[in-house]
Amino acid sequence: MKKMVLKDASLQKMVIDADMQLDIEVNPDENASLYIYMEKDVNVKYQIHVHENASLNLLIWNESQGMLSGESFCERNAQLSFNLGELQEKDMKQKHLIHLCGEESRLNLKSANIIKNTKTYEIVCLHEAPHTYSNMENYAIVYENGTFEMIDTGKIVKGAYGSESHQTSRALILDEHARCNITPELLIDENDVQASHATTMGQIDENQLYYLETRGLTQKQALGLITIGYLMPMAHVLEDEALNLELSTIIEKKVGLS
Amino acid sequence: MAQLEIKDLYVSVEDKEILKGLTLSVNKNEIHALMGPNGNGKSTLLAAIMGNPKYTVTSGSITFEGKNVLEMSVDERSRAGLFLGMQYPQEVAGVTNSDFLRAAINARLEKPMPLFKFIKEMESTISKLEMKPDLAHRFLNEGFSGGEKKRNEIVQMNMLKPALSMLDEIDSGLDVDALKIVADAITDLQQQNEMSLIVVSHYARFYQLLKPTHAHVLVDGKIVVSGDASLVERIDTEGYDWIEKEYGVHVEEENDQKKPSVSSIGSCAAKVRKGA
Repeated sequence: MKKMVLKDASLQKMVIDADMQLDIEVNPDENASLYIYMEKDVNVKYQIHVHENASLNLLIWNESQGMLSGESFCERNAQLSFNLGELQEKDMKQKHLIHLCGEESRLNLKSANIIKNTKTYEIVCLHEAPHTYSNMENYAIVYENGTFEMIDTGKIVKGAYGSESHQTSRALILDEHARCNITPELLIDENDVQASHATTMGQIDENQLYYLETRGLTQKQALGLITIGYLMPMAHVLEDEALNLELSTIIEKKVGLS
Repeated sequence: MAQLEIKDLYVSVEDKEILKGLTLSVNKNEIHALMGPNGNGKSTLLAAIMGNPKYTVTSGSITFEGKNVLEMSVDERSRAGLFLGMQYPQEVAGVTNSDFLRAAINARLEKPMPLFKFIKEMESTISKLEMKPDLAHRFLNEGFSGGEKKRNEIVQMNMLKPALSMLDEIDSGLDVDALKIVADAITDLQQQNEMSLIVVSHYARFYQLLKPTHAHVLVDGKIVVSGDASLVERIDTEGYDWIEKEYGVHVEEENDQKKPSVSSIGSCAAKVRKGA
Protein backbone atom coordinates (compact mmCIF):
# COMPACT_ATOMS: atom_id res chain seq x y z
CA MET A 1 0.00 0.00 0.00
CA LYS A 2 1.21 3.44 -0.89
CA LYS A 3 0.31 6.14 1.58
CA MET A 4 0.25 9.81 0.65
CA VAL A 5 -0.36 12.64 3.06
CA LEU A 6 -1.12 15.78 1.11
CA LYS A 7 -0.49 19.27 2.39
CA ASP A 8 -1.07 22.85 1.38
CA ALA A 9 1.18 22.99 -1.59
CA SER A 10 1.19 23.42 -5.28
CA LEU A 11 -0.19 20.60 -7.34
CA GLN A 12 1.12 17.12 -6.60
CA LYS A 13 1.51 14.75 -9.52
CA MET A 14 1.78 11.02 -9.58
CA VAL A 15 2.01 8.37 -12.26
CA ILE A 16 0.61 4.89 -11.71
CA ASP A 17 2.09 2.14 -13.85
CA ALA A 18 1.49 -0.95 -11.70
CA ASP A 19 -1.39 -2.44 -9.69
CA MET A 20 -1.67 -0.49 -6.51
CA GLN A 21 -3.51 0.18 -3.29
CA LEU A 22 -3.46 3.83 -2.59
CA ASP A 23 -4.19 5.68 0.62
CA ILE A 24 -4.63 9.43 0.29
CA GLU A 25 -5.06 11.68 3.27
CA VAL A 26 -5.56 15.42 3.62
CA ASN A 27 -5.05 16.63 7.19
CA PRO A 28 -7.40 19.13 8.87
CA ASP A 29 -7.38 22.66 7.44
CA GLU A 30 -5.12 21.73 4.52
CA ASN A 31 -6.06 22.46 0.89
CA ALA A 32 -4.50 19.98 -1.48
CA SER A 33 -4.64 19.20 -5.15
CA LEU A 34 -3.52 16.02 -6.82
CA TYR A 35 -3.13 14.82 -10.38
CA ILE A 36 -2.98 11.08 -10.93
CA TYR A 37 -2.04 9.73 -14.32
CA MET A 38 -2.84 6.06 -14.81
CA GLU A 39 -0.50 5.07 -17.54
CA LYS A 40 -0.39 1.30 -17.89
CA ASP A 41 -3.14 -1.28 -17.71
CA VAL A 42 -3.58 -1.52 -13.98
CA ASN A 43 -6.04 -2.17 -11.18
CA VAL A 44 -6.14 0.51 -8.57
CA LYS A 45 -7.87 0.52 -5.22
CA TYR A 46 -7.90 3.70 -3.23
CA GLN A 47 -9.01 5.21 0.06
CA ILE A 48 -9.33 8.92 0.46
CA HIS A 49 -9.74 10.78 3.74
CA VAL A 50 -10.43 14.47 3.66
CA HIS A 51 -10.34 15.66 7.27
CA GLU A 52 -12.14 18.57 8.94
CA ASN A 53 -12.08 21.87 7.06
CA ALA A 54 -9.74 20.38 4.49
CA SER A 55 -10.18 20.19 0.72
CA LEU A 56 -8.91 17.97 -2.05
CA ASN A 57 -9.07 18.76 -5.74
CA LEU A 58 -8.35 15.47 -7.48
CA LEU A 59 -8.06 14.63 -11.16
CA ILE A 60 -7.53 11.05 -12.23
CA TRP A 61 -6.55 10.93 -15.87
CA ASN A 62 -6.90 7.39 -16.99
CA GLU A 63 -5.15 5.90 -20.01
CA SER A 64 -5.33 2.39 -18.65
CA GLN A 65 -7.54 -0.64 -18.92
CA GLY A 66 -8.72 -2.31 -15.76
CA MET A 67 -10.52 -1.51 -12.57
CA LEU A 68 -10.55 1.62 -10.48
CA SER A 69 -12.40 1.41 -7.20
CA GLY A 70 -12.40 2.84 -3.74
CA GLU A 71 -14.00 4.73 -0.91
CA SER A 72 -13.75 8.34 0.13
CA PHE A 73 -14.56 9.91 3.47
CA CYS A 74 -15.28 13.59 3.93
CA GLU A 75 -15.24 14.89 7.51
CA ARG A 76 -16.96 18.00 8.84
CA ASN A 77 -16.80 20.90 6.37
CA ALA A 78 -14.47 18.98 4.07
CA GLN A 79 -14.61 19.43 0.31
CA LEU A 80 -13.80 16.83 -2.29
CA SER A 81 -13.61 17.60 -6.02
CA PHE A 82 -13.40 14.26 -7.71
CA ASN A 83 -12.67 14.44 -11.44
CA LEU A 84 -12.34 11.54 -13.83
CA GLY A 85 -10.87 11.93 -17.30
CA GLU A 86 -11.68 8.74 -19.16
CA LEU A 87 -10.73 9.33 -22.77
CA GLN A 88 -8.89 6.11 -23.45
CA GLU A 89 -10.11 3.59 -26.02
CA LYS A 90 -10.11 0.74 -23.56
CA ASP A 91 -12.47 -1.20 -21.31
CA MET A 92 -12.79 0.19 -17.82
CA LYS A 93 -14.73 -0.62 -14.70
CA GLN A 94 -15.10 1.83 -11.87
CA LYS A 95 -16.73 1.72 -8.46
CA HIS A 96 -16.73 4.76 -6.25
CA LEU A 97 -18.32 5.11 -2.83
CA ILE A 98 -18.20 8.53 -1.27
CA HIS A 99 -19.19 9.06 2.37
CA LEU A 100 -20.18 12.56 3.31
CA CYS A 101 -19.82 11.67 6.96
CA GLY A 102 -19.18 15.10 8.43
CA GLU A 103 -21.66 17.94 8.66
CA GLU A 104 -21.50 20.40 5.76
CA SER A 105 -19.10 18.25 3.79
CA ARG A 106 -19.31 18.59 0.01
CA LEU A 107 -18.66 16.47 -3.05
CA ASN A 108 -18.32 17.67 -6.65
CA LEU A 109 -17.83 14.73 -8.93
CA LYS A 110 -17.31 15.03 -12.67
CA SER A 111 -16.50 12.51 -15.33
CA ALA A 112 -15.72 13.02 -19.02
CA ASN A 113 -15.85 9.92 -21.16
CA ILE A 114 -14.99 8.85 -24.66
CA ILE A 115 -16.61 5.47 -25.10
CA LYS A 116 -15.28 3.28 -27.89
CA ASN A 117 -15.16 0.09 -25.82
CA THR A 118 -17.09 -0.74 -22.65
CA LYS A 119 -17.04 1.49 -19.63
CA THR A 120 -19.02 0.68 -16.52
CA TYR A 121 -19.53 2.93 -13.54
CA GLU A 122 -21.14 2.48 -10.18
CA ILE A 123 -21.04 5.68 -8.19
CA VAL A 124 -22.69 6.06 -4.80
CA CYS A 125 -22.67 9.19 -2.73
CA LEU A 126 -23.87 8.65 0.84
CA HIS A 127 -25.14 11.67 2.72
CA GLU A 128 -24.59 10.57 6.33
CA ALA A 129 -24.63 13.94 8.08
CA PRO A 130 -26.80 17.07 8.01
CA HIS A 131 -26.24 19.89 5.49
CA THR A 132 -24.11 17.83 3.18
CA TYR A 133 -24.00 18.60 -0.54
CA SER A 134 -23.22 16.57 -3.62
CA ASN A 135 -23.25 17.31 -7.31
CA MET A 136 -22.33 14.62 -9.82
CA GLU A 137 -21.97 15.38 -13.52
CA ASN A 138 -21.19 12.77 -16.13
CA TYR A 139 -20.51 13.48 -19.80
CA ALA A 140 -20.05 10.82 -22.43
CA ILE A 141 -19.50 10.61 -26.17
CA VAL A 142 -20.45 7.13 -27.25
CA TYR A 143 -18.98 5.93 -30.54
CA GLU A 144 -19.67 2.90 -32.68
CA ASN A 145 -19.39 -0.35 -30.68
CA GLY A 146 -19.14 1.65 -27.49
CA THR A 147 -21.10 0.68 -24.38
CA PHE A 148 -21.60 3.09 -21.54
CA GLU A 149 -23.16 1.85 -18.31
CA MET A 150 -23.65 4.29 -15.49
CA ILE A 151 -25.42 3.71 -12.21
CA ASP A 152 -25.28 6.92 -10.28
CA THR A 153 -26.81 6.93 -6.81
CA GLY A 154 -27.34 9.70 -4.32
CA LYS A 155 -28.50 8.44 -0.93
CA ILE A 156 -29.58 10.72 1.87
CA VAL A 157 -29.98 8.79 5.16
CA LYS A 158 -32.43 9.64 7.93
CA GLY A 159 -31.08 12.47 10.02
CA ALA A 160 -29.04 14.05 7.21
CA TYR A 161 -31.45 16.97 7.11
CA GLY A 162 -30.76 20.05 5.03
CA SER A 163 -28.76 18.02 2.51
CA GLU A 164 -28.68 18.40 -1.26
CA SER A 165 -28.02 15.73 -3.86
CA HIS A 166 -27.85 16.59 -7.56
CA GLN A 167 -26.98 14.59 -10.65
CA THR A 168 -26.65 15.38 -14.34
CA SER A 169 -25.74 12.93 -17.06
CA ARG A 170 -25.38 13.81 -20.72
CA ALA A 171 -24.55 11.31 -23.41
CA LEU A 172 -24.08 11.98 -27.10
CA ILE A 173 -24.52 8.85 -29.17
CA LEU A 174 -22.72 8.89 -32.50
CA ASP A 175 -23.72 5.56 -33.90
CA GLU A 176 -26.85 3.43 -33.97
CA HIS A 177 -24.87 0.45 -32.67
CA ALA A 178 -23.62 2.36 -29.65
CA ARG A 179 -25.18 1.42 -26.34
CA CYS A 180 -25.85 3.69 -23.44
CA ASN A 181 -27.49 2.87 -20.15
CA ILE A 182 -27.71 5.57 -17.53
CA THR A 183 -29.50 4.85 -14.26
CA PRO A 184 -29.70 7.79 -11.93
CA GLU A 185 -31.01 6.92 -8.48
CA LEU A 186 -32.03 9.04 -5.56
CA LEU A 187 -32.69 7.22 -2.30
CA ILE A 188 -34.02 9.57 0.30
CA ASP A 189 -34.98 8.84 3.90
CA GLU A 190 -35.18 12.39 5.15
CA ASN A 191 -37.83 15.04 4.50
CA ASP A 192 -35.91 18.29 4.64
CA VAL A 193 -33.70 17.84 1.57
CA GLN A 194 -33.21 18.99 -2.00
CA ALA A 195 -32.51 16.52 -4.76
CA SER A 196 -32.55 16.48 -8.55
CA HIS A 197 -31.41 14.48 -11.51
CA ALA A 198 -31.36 15.18 -15.22
CA THR A 199 -30.39 12.82 -17.97
CA THR A 200 -30.07 13.69 -21.63
CA MET A 201 -29.20 11.19 -24.28
CA GLY A 202 -29.26 11.92 -27.94
CA GLN A 203 -27.78 11.65 -31.34
CA ILE A 204 -25.93 14.30 -33.20
CA ASP A 205 -28.20 16.72 -35.00
CA GLU A 206 -27.63 16.70 -38.75
CA ASN A 207 -28.88 20.25 -39.06
CA GLN A 208 -26.16 21.36 -36.67
CA LEU A 209 -23.50 19.54 -38.66
CA TYR A 210 -24.73 21.13 -41.88
CA TYR A 211 -24.74 24.57 -40.29
CA LEU A 212 -21.12 24.25 -39.15
CA GLU A 213 -20.11 22.86 -42.54
CA THR A 214 -21.61 25.85 -44.36
CA ARG A 215 -18.96 27.91 -42.55
CA GLY A 216 -16.13 25.85 -43.97
CA LEU A 217 -15.59 23.17 -41.35
CA THR A 218 -15.19 19.61 -42.59
CA GLN A 219 -17.62 17.07 -41.19
CA LYS A 220 -14.85 15.74 -38.96
CA GLN A 221 -14.09 19.21 -37.63
CA ALA A 222 -17.77 19.98 -37.11
CA LEU A 223 -18.26 16.75 -35.18
CA GLY A 224 -15.14 17.45 -33.16
CA LEU A 225 -16.35 20.92 -32.27
CA ILE A 226 -19.73 19.63 -31.09
CA THR A 227 -18.22 16.81 -29.02
CA ILE A 228 -15.39 18.81 -27.48
CA GLY A 229 -17.83 20.84 -25.42
CA TYR A 230 -18.60 17.67 -23.47
CA LEU A 231 -15.00 16.98 -22.61
CA MET A 232 -13.06 20.21 -22.46
CA PRO A 233 -14.09 21.30 -18.94
CA MET A 234 -12.07 18.33 -17.65
CA ALA A 235 -8.88 19.98 -18.90
CA HIS A 236 -9.38 22.94 -16.59
CA VAL A 237 -10.27 21.44 -13.22
CA LEU A 238 -6.78 21.87 -11.77
CA GLU A 239 -4.96 25.15 -11.44
CA ASP A 240 -1.88 24.40 -13.47
CA GLU A 241 -1.55 26.16 -16.79
CA ALA A 242 0.97 23.84 -18.35
CA LEU A 243 -1.04 20.78 -17.41
CA ASN A 244 -4.30 22.34 -18.62
CA LEU A 245 -2.72 23.09 -21.97
CA GLU A 246 -1.36 19.58 -22.22
CA LEU A 247 -4.75 18.06 -21.40
CA SER A 248 -6.69 20.32 -23.79
CA THR A 249 -4.27 19.36 -26.58
CA ILE A 250 -4.89 15.70 -25.80
CA ILE A 251 -8.67 16.27 -25.89
CA GLU A 252 -8.46 18.12 -29.22
CA LYS A 253 -6.52 15.23 -30.67
CA LYS A 254 -8.94 12.64 -29.35
CA VAL A 255 -11.94 14.30 -31.00
CA GLY A 256 -10.03 14.82 -34.24
CA LEU A 257 -9.63 18.60 -34.11
CA SER A 258 -5.87 18.70 -34.46
CA MET B 1 -18.19 33.90 -67.65
CA ALA B 2 -20.02 35.30 -64.68
CA GLN B 3 -18.76 34.69 -61.13
CA LEU B 4 -21.79 32.52 -60.34
CA GLU B 5 -23.45 30.79 -63.27
CA ILE B 6 -26.61 28.75 -62.80
CA LYS B 7 -27.98 27.01 -65.85
CA ASP B 8 -31.28 25.21 -66.31
CA LEU B 9 -31.30 24.02 -62.70
CA TYR B 10 -33.79 21.42 -61.47
CA VAL B 11 -33.94 20.72 -57.76
CA SER B 12 -36.13 18.34 -55.77
CA VAL B 13 -36.87 17.96 -52.10
CA GLU B 14 -38.19 14.60 -50.96
CA ASP B 15 -39.15 13.78 -54.58
CA LYS B 16 -41.06 16.98 -55.07
CA GLU B 17 -39.65 19.15 -57.82
CA ILE B 18 -39.19 22.73 -56.61
CA LEU B 19 -36.84 24.35 -59.13
CA LYS B 20 -37.81 23.71 -62.73
CA GLY B 21 -35.16 25.01 -65.06
CA LEU B 22 -33.76 28.08 -63.31
CA THR B 23 -31.06 30.15 -64.95
CA LEU B 24 -29.20 33.01 -63.25
CA SER B 25 -25.85 34.79 -63.57
CA VAL B 26 -24.29 36.88 -60.83
CA ASN B 27 -21.13 38.93 -61.30
CA LYS B 28 -18.66 40.30 -58.84
CA ASN B 29 -19.87 43.44 -57.07
CA GLU B 30 -23.50 42.90 -58.09
CA ILE B 31 -26.41 42.88 -55.66
CA HIS B 32 -29.31 40.69 -56.74
CA ALA B 33 -32.72 40.92 -55.10
CA LEU B 34 -34.60 37.64 -55.31
CA MET B 35 -38.34 37.97 -54.85
CA GLY B 36 -41.42 35.89 -55.33
CA PRO B 37 -44.28 34.53 -53.29
CA ASN B 38 -43.55 32.01 -50.54
CA GLY B 39 -43.10 28.42 -51.59
CA ASN B 40 -41.88 29.13 -55.12
CA GLY B 41 -38.26 28.14 -54.63
CA LYS B 42 -36.19 31.09 -53.35
CA SER B 43 -34.83 29.32 -50.26
CA THR B 44 -34.46 26.12 -52.27
CA LEU B 45 -32.22 27.91 -54.75
CA LEU B 46 -29.93 29.22 -52.01
CA ALA B 47 -29.87 25.87 -50.21
CA ALA B 48 -28.99 24.08 -53.46
CA ILE B 49 -26.15 26.49 -54.16
CA MET B 50 -24.80 25.92 -50.64
CA GLY B 51 -25.23 22.14 -50.92
CA ASN B 52 -27.83 21.33 -48.27
CA PRO B 53 -28.04 17.52 -48.38
CA LYS B 54 -31.85 17.62 -48.21
CA TYR B 55 -31.98 19.20 -51.67
CA THR B 56 -31.22 17.10 -54.73
CA VAL B 57 -30.06 18.68 -57.95
CA THR B 58 -31.57 16.49 -60.66
CA SER B 59 -30.23 18.39 -63.64
CA GLY B 60 -28.54 21.61 -64.68
CA SER B 61 -25.28 23.18 -63.57
CA ILE B 62 -23.86 25.62 -61.03
CA THR B 63 -20.37 27.05 -61.44
CA PHE B 64 -18.62 29.51 -59.17
CA GLU B 65 -15.46 31.25 -60.38
CA GLY B 66 -15.22 28.62 -63.09
CA LYS B 67 -15.44 25.66 -60.72
CA ASN B 68 -18.19 23.05 -60.72
CA VAL B 69 -20.00 23.70 -57.46
CA LEU B 70 -22.09 20.55 -57.67
CA GLU B 71 -18.98 18.41 -57.27
CA MET B 72 -17.98 20.17 -54.06
CA SER B 73 -18.94 19.30 -50.49
CA VAL B 74 -20.68 21.92 -48.36
CA ASP B 75 -17.49 22.92 -46.55
CA GLU B 76 -15.55 23.15 -49.82
CA ARG B 77 -18.19 25.51 -51.18
CA SER B 78 -17.79 27.67 -48.11
CA ARG B 79 -14.02 27.73 -48.36
CA ALA B 80 -14.36 28.57 -52.07
CA GLY B 81 -16.08 31.81 -51.03
CA LEU B 82 -19.80 31.08 -50.81
CA PHE B 83 -21.77 32.09 -47.73
CA LEU B 84 -25.38 31.46 -46.77
CA GLY B 85 -26.96 33.63 -44.09
CA MET B 86 -29.80 31.42 -42.98
CA GLN B 87 -33.44 32.05 -42.31
CA TYR B 88 -33.34 29.70 -39.31
CA PRO B 89 -29.80 29.58 -37.91
CA GLN B 90 -29.09 26.49 -35.83
CA GLU B 91 -28.43 26.54 -32.10
CA VAL B 92 -25.36 24.57 -31.10
CA ALA B 93 -24.96 24.16 -27.34
CA GLY B 94 -21.50 23.46 -25.99
CA VAL B 95 -19.74 25.33 -28.83
CA THR B 96 -18.90 28.97 -28.18
CA ASN B 97 -19.20 31.55 -30.94
CA SER B 98 -15.51 32.36 -30.71
CA ASP B 99 -14.29 28.74 -30.83
CA PHE B 100 -16.58 28.12 -33.78
CA LEU B 101 -15.57 31.22 -35.73
CA ARG B 102 -11.90 30.71 -35.06
CA ALA B 103 -12.12 27.16 -36.36
CA ALA B 104 -14.06 28.40 -39.42
CA ILE B 105 -11.51 31.13 -40.17
CA ASN B 106 -8.54 28.84 -39.65
CA ALA B 107 -10.17 26.25 -41.92
CA ARG B 108 -9.58 28.63 -44.83
CA LEU B 109 -6.07 29.79 -43.90
CA GLU B 110 -2.80 27.95 -44.38
CA LYS B 111 -1.48 29.23 -41.09
CA PRO B 112 -3.89 29.78 -38.20
CA MET B 113 -4.77 33.39 -37.45
CA PRO B 114 -2.93 34.65 -34.36
CA LEU B 115 -5.26 34.58 -31.38
CA PHE B 116 -4.74 38.25 -30.60
CA LYS B 117 -5.68 39.32 -34.11
CA PHE B 118 -8.75 37.10 -34.03
CA ILE B 119 -9.97 38.54 -30.71
CA LYS B 120 -9.49 42.09 -31.99
CA GLU B 121 -11.42 41.38 -35.15
CA MET B 122 -14.20 39.56 -33.33
CA GLU B 123 -14.58 42.40 -30.82
CA SER B 124 -14.80 45.05 -33.50
CA THR B 125 -17.31 43.02 -35.52
CA ILE B 126 -19.47 42.43 -32.44
CA SER B 127 -19.50 46.14 -31.64
CA LYS B 128 -20.24 47.02 -35.26
CA LEU B 129 -23.34 44.83 -35.17
CA GLU B 130 -24.13 46.33 -31.74
CA MET B 131 -24.34 42.97 -30.07
CA LYS B 132 -23.55 42.27 -26.42
CA PRO B 133 -19.80 41.97 -25.77
CA ASP B 134 -20.22 38.52 -24.19
CA LEU B 135 -21.34 37.11 -27.55
CA ALA B 136 -17.94 35.53 -28.16
CA HIS B 137 -18.24 33.38 -25.06
CA ARG B 138 -21.86 32.38 -25.44
CA PHE B 139 -22.82 29.12 -27.08
CA LEU B 140 -23.52 29.39 -30.78
CA ASN B 141 -27.01 30.89 -31.14
CA GLU B 142 -28.20 29.12 -27.99
CA GLY B 143 -31.00 31.06 -26.34
CA PHE B 144 -30.57 33.92 -28.83
CA SER B 145 -33.63 35.90 -29.84
CA GLY B 146 -34.65 35.75 -33.51
CA GLY B 147 -33.01 39.10 -34.15
CA GLU B 148 -29.79 38.15 -32.36
CA LYS B 149 -29.49 35.00 -34.46
CA LYS B 150 -29.82 37.02 -37.66
CA ARG B 151 -27.24 39.54 -36.51
CA ASN B 152 -24.93 36.70 -35.60
CA GLU B 153 -25.17 35.47 -39.19
CA ILE B 154 -23.88 38.85 -40.30
CA VAL B 155 -21.12 38.74 -37.66
CA GLN B 156 -20.03 35.45 -39.22
CA MET B 157 -20.23 36.87 -42.74
CA ASN B 158 -18.10 39.82 -41.71
CA MET B 159 -15.46 37.58 -40.17
CA LEU B 160 -15.35 35.03 -43.01
CA LYS B 161 -15.38 37.64 -45.80
CA PRO B 162 -16.97 35.54 -48.54
CA ALA B 163 -16.80 36.48 -52.21
CA LEU B 164 -20.52 35.83 -52.64
CA SER B 165 -23.10 35.99 -49.89
CA MET B 166 -26.63 34.67 -50.04
CA LEU B 167 -28.96 36.08 -47.43
CA ASP B 168 -32.19 34.21 -46.84
CA GLU B 169 -34.73 36.51 -45.17
CA ILE B 170 -31.96 37.78 -42.94
CA ASP B 171 -34.09 40.85 -42.19
CA SER B 172 -37.02 38.96 -40.69
CA GLY B 173 -37.07 39.21 -36.91
CA LEU B 174 -35.14 42.49 -36.91
CA ASP B 175 -36.60 45.70 -35.57
CA VAL B 176 -36.19 48.98 -37.46
CA ASP B 177 -32.93 49.93 -35.75
CA ALA B 178 -31.40 46.49 -36.10
CA LEU B 179 -32.41 46.43 -39.76
CA LYS B 180 -30.36 49.56 -40.35
CA ILE B 181 -27.36 48.22 -38.41
CA VAL B 182 -27.43 44.96 -40.36
CA ALA B 183 -27.89 46.68 -43.73
CA ASP B 184 -24.99 49.05 -43.01
CA ALA B 185 -22.71 46.17 -42.06
CA ILE B 186 -23.63 44.29 -45.24
CA THR B 187 -23.13 47.37 -47.42
CA ASP B 188 -19.73 48.16 -45.85
CA LEU B 189 -18.42 44.66 -46.42
CA GLN B 190 -19.91 44.58 -49.91
CA GLN B 191 -18.12 47.79 -50.87
CA GLN B 192 -14.82 46.86 -49.22
CA ASN B 193 -14.54 43.48 -50.90
CA GLU B 194 -16.69 43.99 -54.00
CA MET B 195 -18.68 41.09 -52.59
CA SER B 196 -21.61 39.92 -54.67
CA LEU B 197 -24.95 39.33 -52.98
CA ILE B 198 -28.13 37.38 -53.56
CA VAL B 199 -30.71 38.71 -51.17
CA VAL B 200 -34.08 37.13 -50.45
CA SER B 201 -36.46 39.41 -48.60
CA HIS B 202 -40.12 40.32 -48.59
CA TYR B 203 -39.49 43.89 -47.56
CA ALA B 204 -38.82 46.80 -49.89
CA ARG B 205 -37.36 48.69 -46.95
CA PHE B 206 -34.44 46.27 -46.65
CA TYR B 207 -33.83 46.46 -50.39
CA GLN B 208 -33.90 50.26 -50.27
CA LEU B 209 -31.05 50.14 -47.78
CA LEU B 210 -29.02 47.60 -49.78
CA LYS B 211 -29.64 49.17 -53.21
CA PRO B 212 -29.76 46.11 -55.47
CA THR B 213 -28.29 46.32 -58.96
CA HIS B 214 -30.52 43.52 -60.21
CA ALA B 215 -33.91 42.10 -59.25
CA HIS B 216 -35.64 38.84 -60.13
CA VAL B 217 -39.02 37.31 -59.51
CA LEU B 218 -39.07 33.58 -58.96
CA VAL B 219 -42.36 31.84 -59.67
CA ASP B 220 -42.99 28.10 -59.74
CA GLY B 221 -39.30 27.21 -59.80
CA LYS B 222 -38.23 29.61 -62.53
CA ILE B 223 -37.18 33.22 -62.81
CA VAL B 224 -40.04 34.82 -64.75
CA VAL B 225 -39.05 38.50 -64.64
CA SER B 226 -35.68 40.17 -64.22
CA GLY B 227 -34.95 43.86 -64.02
CA ASP B 228 -33.34 46.53 -61.89
CA ALA B 229 -34.28 48.01 -58.51
CA SER B 230 -37.48 49.49 -59.96
CA LEU B 231 -38.89 45.96 -60.04
CA VAL B 232 -38.65 45.90 -56.24
CA GLU B 233 -40.65 49.13 -55.99
CA ARG B 234 -43.33 47.88 -58.33
CA ILE B 235 -43.82 44.63 -56.41
CA ASP B 236 -43.90 46.58 -53.17
CA THR B 237 -46.78 48.70 -54.39
CA GLU B 238 -48.62 46.31 -56.72
CA GLY B 239 -47.86 42.83 -55.40
CA TYR B 240 -47.40 39.89 -57.77
CA ASP B 241 -50.76 39.96 -59.61
CA TRP B 242 -49.51 42.01 -62.55
CA ILE B 243 -46.84 39.43 -63.31
CA GLU B 244 -49.56 36.89 -63.86
CA LYS B 245 -51.25 39.13 -66.40
CA GLU B 246 -48.19 40.49 -68.19
CA TYR B 247 -46.16 37.31 -68.33
CA GLY B 248 -48.91 34.73 -68.49
CA VAL B 249 -47.63 32.72 -65.51
CA HIS B 250 -49.75 31.41 -62.72
CA VAL B 251 -48.61 32.81 -59.40
CA GLU B 252 -49.42 30.47 -56.57
CA GLU B 253 -48.81 31.26 -52.94
CA GLU B 254 -47.63 28.48 -50.77
CA ASN B 255 -50.58 26.91 -49.05
CA ASP B 256 -50.51 23.27 -48.17
CA GLN B 257 -47.16 22.75 -49.79
CA LYS B 258 -44.90 20.98 -47.42
CA LYS B 259 -41.92 23.09 -46.55
CA PRO B 260 -38.64 21.26 -46.08
CA SER B 261 -38.56 20.61 -42.40
CA VAL B 262 -36.28 22.82 -40.41
CA SER B 263 -36.50 21.00 -37.18
CA SER B 264 -35.01 22.19 -33.99
CA ILE B 265 -34.86 19.82 -31.11
CA GLY B 266 -34.37 22.46 -28.55
CA SER B 267 -31.41 24.11 -27.06
CA CYS B 268 -28.79 21.44 -27.07
CA ALA B 269 -27.23 18.87 -29.31
CA ALA B 270 -29.00 16.09 -27.55
CA LYS B 271 -32.66 15.25 -27.41
CA VAL B 272 -33.69 16.19 -23.94
CA ARG B 273 -35.26 13.65 -21.72
CA LYS B 274 -35.49 15.30 -18.35
CA GLY B 275 -36.02 13.31 -15.23
CA ALA B 276 -35.55 10.01 -16.99
